[in-house]
Amino acid sequence: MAYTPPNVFVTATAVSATALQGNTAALRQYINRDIIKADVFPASVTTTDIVRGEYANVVRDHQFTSGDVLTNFIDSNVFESNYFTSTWKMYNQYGLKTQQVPQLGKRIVMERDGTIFFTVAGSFVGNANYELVPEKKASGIYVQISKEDRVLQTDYIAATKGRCYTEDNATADVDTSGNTTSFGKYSRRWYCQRYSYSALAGEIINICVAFDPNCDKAHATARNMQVEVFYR
Amino acid sequence: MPTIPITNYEAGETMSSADANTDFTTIQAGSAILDDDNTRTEWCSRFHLDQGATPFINTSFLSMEDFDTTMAVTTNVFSVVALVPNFRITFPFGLGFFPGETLRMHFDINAVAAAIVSGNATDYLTDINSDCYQFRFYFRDSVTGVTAPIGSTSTYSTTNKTDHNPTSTGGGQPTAVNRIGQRVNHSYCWINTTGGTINLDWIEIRVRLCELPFLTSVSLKEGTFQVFKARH
Repeated sequence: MAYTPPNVFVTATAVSATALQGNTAALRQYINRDIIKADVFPASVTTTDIVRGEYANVVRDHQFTSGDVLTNFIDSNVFESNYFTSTWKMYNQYGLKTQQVPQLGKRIVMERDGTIFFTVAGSFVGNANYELVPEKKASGIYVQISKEDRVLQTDYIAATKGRCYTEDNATADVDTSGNTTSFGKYSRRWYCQRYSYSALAGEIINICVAFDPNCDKAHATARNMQVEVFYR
Repeated sequence: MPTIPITNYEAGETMSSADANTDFTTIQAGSAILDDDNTRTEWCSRFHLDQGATPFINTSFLSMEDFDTTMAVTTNVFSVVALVPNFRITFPFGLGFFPGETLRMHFDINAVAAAIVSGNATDYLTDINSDCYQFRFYFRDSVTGVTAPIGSTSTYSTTNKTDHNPTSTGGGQPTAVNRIGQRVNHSYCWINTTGGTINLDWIEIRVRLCELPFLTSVSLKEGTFQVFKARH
């Protein structure tokens, strides 16, 4: 709607200061959309009033302008399968050496204090070994959190352990999985884990899935990941 | 965007009504194309929000984990997951769970062993819960002192149930084959739609066996438990 001056001036009639000021005051209110101090008090807008955000294409995050959630990142790769075996270990394929699973991790630089909530899931399928003994030792899979650029294979969180590629023979519980009843039926494992981690402003957090495969023929598939960062 | 000319007068010069009217009528004409929608995405950001008396960030994270304790579940009555410590999150001064807020609870653990009573394999098929164990969240109201379950249960099977041998006549006989070394999970998003505040003393995760005659024990190990609240 266009601006309408409230006063029109007439020829040979003195311009009234009040009328002139009235027109400019009306113009000022029009530009301000009639907002006056009584309408919007300072510091009166709360997070529940406005929740919107935008997609940050560089980091593939949805960054929220307000609300309790800072960013939300979702990656889903349901159908692609990748070999992920013990053969990448230089020696001792049964040794504890974790490796980051592709597409199941993210590097986060914290702008301010917050909590990272990490949700991850994937399916890990083991086959009969080529080089190792037939039974496969339980392959530990964990959530791993490292700070800055110093990533150690011991950074994994022990309480998040899953057991993938697990398969014993019929007589011995080689992998300490508790399974001694059959052979060839336990090598498919679904891993799902949620984990929260509090981080301070300025910290660089590498959060991922660390896997210690003890199977020389196996693959990872159906990978899903969500990373939520909350202010606190 | 068109420019709007304003008539200027020198000191002592007589203002004409036509000129004065022209100033405002050109504003009137020019303002007709103004768009009422504010398209500037940065018009309001976190920096403009009230961070004073009203809580700006409303998240509340609490979590616990354990990796070296094993719990043997031997009862069909819901009881707390008793790792070290028990998986109960207590809010030190109570937690006000206000209308419209969301409380998220996430629990992950491994079932590392199961004691299944051998017998007629068809028993495992006729009763769908016979080889199962369940998880459920419980809370205590700090005002009323009432303890109550939250949400539904998650039910997991300790067997693969139908282990058909395709080489046998008629597809083979179904047998119950243990399925252990498996990561299991339970989650619930609780939105307070009661219209009133719920005062939370604690929230815990409980577990039970479904039918003791068929399943006498399940061992749990390496668990994580997170509870957090945020506005939705």
